Amino acid sequence: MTQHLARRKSIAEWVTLSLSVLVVGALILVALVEESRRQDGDGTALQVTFDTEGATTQGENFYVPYVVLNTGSEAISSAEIWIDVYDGERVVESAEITVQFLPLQGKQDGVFVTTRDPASHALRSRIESLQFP
Amino acid sequence: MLVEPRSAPTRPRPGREWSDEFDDAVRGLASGFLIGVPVVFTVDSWWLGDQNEPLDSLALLAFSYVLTLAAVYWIGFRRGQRRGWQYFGDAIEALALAVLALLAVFWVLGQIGDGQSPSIAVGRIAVAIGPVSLGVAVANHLLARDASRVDPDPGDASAMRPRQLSGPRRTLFELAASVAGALFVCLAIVPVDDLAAITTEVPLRNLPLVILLSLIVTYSVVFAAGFAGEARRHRTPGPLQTPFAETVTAYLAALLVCLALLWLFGRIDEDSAVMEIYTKTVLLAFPASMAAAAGRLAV
Repeated sequence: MTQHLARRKSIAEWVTLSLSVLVVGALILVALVEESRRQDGDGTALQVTFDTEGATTQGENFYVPYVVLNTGSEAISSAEIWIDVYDGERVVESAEITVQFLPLQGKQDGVFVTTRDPASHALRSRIESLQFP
Repeated sequence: MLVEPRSAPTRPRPGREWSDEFDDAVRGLASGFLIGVPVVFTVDSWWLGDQNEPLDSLALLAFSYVLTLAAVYWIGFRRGQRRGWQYFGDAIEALALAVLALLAVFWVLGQIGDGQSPSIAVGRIAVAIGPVSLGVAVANHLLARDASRVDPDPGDASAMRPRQLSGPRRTLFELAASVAGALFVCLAIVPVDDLAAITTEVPLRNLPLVILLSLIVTYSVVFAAGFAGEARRHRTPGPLQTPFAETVTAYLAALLVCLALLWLFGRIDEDSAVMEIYTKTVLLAFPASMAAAAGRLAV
């Protein structure tokens, strides 16, 4: 036995479908905007910022917070960065940090430990190598 | 005009359009969580999403839509018969439910909307959306309306037993089912070391939100989606037979199973800090509590 029934989409179904299209559409839109921003980006670029004012001391060591930010147009799977501590124009201390999985506009927080007072010394970074996914 | 198969529930049901929509959505979400949570709860999938470029994410989204469309055509998550272009609409809805579920999970875990860029959110959602939307799309099979929660399926060992359990023995049996469900998921997660990485990635302040989402999803899986036997379960007498008590019981069972397995596999020991034990247990209980709730559906 079969039944013949007239069918019309209810208002509730239309609302659900419309909201769903909005949600998926928003996701696609964000992806397209991010892609456009990526294409306008300037290749590979990493930015390392030290917060010397936020440094703390523990014994003879100074703990200096830093942020590594991927400002380029490619995701980075691994970055090796040298941090040099300068006393005037002379490098008095160096250390290497490795950062992994830096997506587009991704950032990695960390703390650099040095025996030199960041208030009287300059901290500079240089990228040694990068690896891409 | 549409020819309805025999016994097929009609749709829309007059006067119940909105509640049917809500039931279908929650049932789909519950099914999506159950299928997708192992992928969502893997830090490697987060990192893979981080490295995705936006166009890769769009390709994954398109692929997931095609898979979901196929699953919706063969199984689906909506009440009543569908036809023609409605399958395409249902697949979009399944995808949207998956997006919302993933947004909720990643936000609660502090993995999006906490200083991360939009491309990270898109990448992480794109990597995990396939299994979750597939889970939504097969809700009619996984959490079927016509499958009884109180009668065993044909062929089940419990179907061969001469009588049904009742009273305290039934409550005990349901507790055991919750434990079994939680064990099912925990045994797949605890031996691999993902939990340690997830523990370091999730901010401490987010753990209360994780507990809240665990309870909401657990409640949804067991009660809110209009599963078969729901009404009967709501009116069954007994201290552990209220919706709130059942949800909390399933969650507590999951917590205990998580603690036991973390201890058994050496992920925590007597030297572990209380905060470490708390963090690992709460995070692991997130997928485990869903499985514990699903375990109760099986009895």
